[in-house]
Amino acid sequence: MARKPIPDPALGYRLCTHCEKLIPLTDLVSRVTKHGIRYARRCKPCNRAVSRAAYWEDPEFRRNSSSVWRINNLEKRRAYQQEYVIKTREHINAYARHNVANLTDSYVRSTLVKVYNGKRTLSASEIPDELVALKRVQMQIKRLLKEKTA
Amino acid sequence: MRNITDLTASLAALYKDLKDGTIDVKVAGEMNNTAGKIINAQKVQLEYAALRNVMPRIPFLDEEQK
Repeated sequence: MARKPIPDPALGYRLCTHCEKLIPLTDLVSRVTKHGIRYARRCKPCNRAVSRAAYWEDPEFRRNSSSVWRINNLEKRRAYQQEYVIKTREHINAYARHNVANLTDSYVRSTLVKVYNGKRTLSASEIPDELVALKRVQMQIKRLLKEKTA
Repeated sequence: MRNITDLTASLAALYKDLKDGTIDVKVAGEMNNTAGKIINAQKVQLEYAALRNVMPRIPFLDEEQK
């Protein structure tokens, strides 16, 4: 059976995708953006039910994912995250240096991509592996030439 | 040199020759520069296909083409 058409938001009602009832816009989950108020497809009671269900699936994981809980329970969070290394700027810089030195796939791919107005011209999956391999050899020769001419 | 695999192989040979010193640095530089131009040309074709939301069909990148 085909789903009912979604009413025009200008009329003030929208179909909740969870309970499939017509709900006034003011009772929908919303957020304020720079383009105005954006309304979600889920009504507030449904959203609450879904989020509660998600919480009780794995409460410990959810608590540790919550920023408010993390701030209020710093000691517990540290105990939970003992086995994980928290990345610092030094770690990130070290990874970046490693990528440049070893010509890793991610670095070579990044050289094949240009960024215009914050948007990338190509995504990593759109660049074939053969082209990455070719670019890597070309960059290796470029580096060798730089060493020879220096 | 008919496809990307051939070009990679010839560039790898160039790298070896350059390391051994059997090829002039200037010549190697020009060859490497030309390879860079070819890479950029393929990249532009990929970008064009991505912008049009179509599957790129570039004979040079097709390995089976002989």
